Amino acid sequence: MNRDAKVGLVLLGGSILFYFYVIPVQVRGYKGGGIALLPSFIPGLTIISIIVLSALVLLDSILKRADRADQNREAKMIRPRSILVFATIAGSVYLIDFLGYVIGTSITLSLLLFCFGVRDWKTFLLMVIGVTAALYFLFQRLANVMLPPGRIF
Amino acid sequence: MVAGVTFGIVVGATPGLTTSIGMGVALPLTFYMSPVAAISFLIGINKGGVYGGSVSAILLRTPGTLAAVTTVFDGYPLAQKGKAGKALKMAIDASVIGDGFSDLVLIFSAPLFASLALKMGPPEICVLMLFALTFVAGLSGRSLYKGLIAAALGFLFATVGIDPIVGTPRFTFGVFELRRGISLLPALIGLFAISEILIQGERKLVDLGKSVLKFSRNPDDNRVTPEDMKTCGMAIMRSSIIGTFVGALPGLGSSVAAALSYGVARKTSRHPELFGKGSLEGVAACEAGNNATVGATYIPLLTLGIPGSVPAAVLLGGLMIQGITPGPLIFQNQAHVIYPIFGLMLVANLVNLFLGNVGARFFIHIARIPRKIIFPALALVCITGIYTINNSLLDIKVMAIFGLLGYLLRKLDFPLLALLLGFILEPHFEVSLRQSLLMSGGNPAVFLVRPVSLALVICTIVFVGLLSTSYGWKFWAAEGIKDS
Repeated sequence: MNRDAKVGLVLLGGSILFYFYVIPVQVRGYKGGGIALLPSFIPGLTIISIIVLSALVLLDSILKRADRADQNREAKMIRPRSILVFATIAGSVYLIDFLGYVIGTSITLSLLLFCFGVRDWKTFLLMVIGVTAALYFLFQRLANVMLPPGRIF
Repeated sequence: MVAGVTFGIVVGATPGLTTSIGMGVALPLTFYMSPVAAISFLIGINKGGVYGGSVSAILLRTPGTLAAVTTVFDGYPLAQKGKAGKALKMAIDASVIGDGFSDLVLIFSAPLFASLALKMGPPEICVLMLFALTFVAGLSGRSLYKGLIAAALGFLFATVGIDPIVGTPRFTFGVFELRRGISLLPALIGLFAISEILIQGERKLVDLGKSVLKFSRNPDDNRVTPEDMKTCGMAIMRSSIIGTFVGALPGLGSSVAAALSYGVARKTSRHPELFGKGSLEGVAACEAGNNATVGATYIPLLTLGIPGSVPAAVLLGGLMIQGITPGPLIFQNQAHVIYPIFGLMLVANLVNLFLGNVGARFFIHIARIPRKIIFPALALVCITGIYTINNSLLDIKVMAIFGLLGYLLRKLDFPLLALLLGFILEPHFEVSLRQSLLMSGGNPAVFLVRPVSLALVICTIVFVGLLSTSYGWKFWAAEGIKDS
């Protein structure tokens, strides 16, 4: 099974589950009125469109035997370093929440610089102090935005 | 005014700081200014801010403002080819032309234009959105189905939050903050900037030490030549008209104008194949389109007191601080303030042109910074900027999730533009569709009995037909190539 067929299959299965299990629970019904008053009108219509379109993607990829998407397989692979960068960005929320903006973003920036291959300690230090301080000054001092103080300090 | 335009460019170029935030922050400063100075200062920020969004869009693939979303698609590829200077200068030239055009329309036909815009009811707005969505299919890259799926996903994400008609929550999963829906800015910064950071993170460490973009020493790559202007002239004029029209319609905004302008430019271009790969026409169309909304958005504000956009609402606050009441009588009662402001709006365009051209010389040096320095710093700017919009850590989570989504969609060949356009257009489409159906008691014929709506339906059908033909042609051409 080629890549597009897998994508079509996952989308088809996912959207069918979404239509039958997520919409009824997550979209509160409204009794009475016409179709225009139904909060599930547009989400339902959208999911039905995705079901039809993903079936077409699946059918299209089965009928076309040559998988053009797989020709550039190397560029399409998901790399561990990207996942590490994503985890650092997503984790910054918790770091900032617990340690406060200055310490949280300093740790986040240090991890990102390390992921991107900065090994020279002078550049490291200059970036962490310079960028964090510049952003703190720009937002907290100039724009009067209250940056998170953190929970443990 | 010079200070306003400069501040606007800086604010616009900073991801997370929108034009309206810049105007809002500057609003208290206008307490101490004369009415003309205060209003020109705010208008200067608006004009500079809409252009400023294109600077980071072109150089860093991170639109500084919503208006610059579509500028990314051709601005960044041009910068990657070493033509960042050319793209930046075309962006400022097109912005100033679009802006100047809409200012002239504002000055000469404000009352007429506003009454025309007010005649657009829900059926017309709905069909206009549908008309815009047909362009999504046209912009959907290699696979029509994947483009439509991406647009549908954008639609689905936009339905999160409180239902706009009956007020019940949808897809909030028990998270209270999700009741206000997914904010556009975290979603778009995630889709474009964070996904780019993740893609860049895949590079070998040796590559990460190199500069972000090529830096060309060829003078023609760093300026707009008369030939470039000749090629892009029609696209700029068309986009200026589109932007002015969209700007005068309350609630649509500069991002819709830029998307429509981009779609039309691609369809009418002699080289549509270059769009998305570094077309100067693409940059010119987006920038003329989004800046042309600036003057036009003041038409309903000044003549009827209806702010058609967030910056217009902030300007309304500025007008009220100065004791100026917008409305049909403003041209009689406040003529001594309004007409100098009109004059200064035209001067502000020249200031924008000067500052943009001077600034472009400095901005392109960002291209010299190595990837390993700029992308971690960019990630931190995005995290901080996104937090400051609503003082919400949830927005950073949304940005990260959309970043991962954008990364995966790019890997799977789904066009991000289609997803984003679906996300932007869904609220307008849903409200107007449901309002139209409520008005007609559920009868869909409401779209065919009103002349403007009927004309737009016909245009949509014609465009769908043209798109189908185009895809059919592409399909047969591809099959022919494969067979041969």
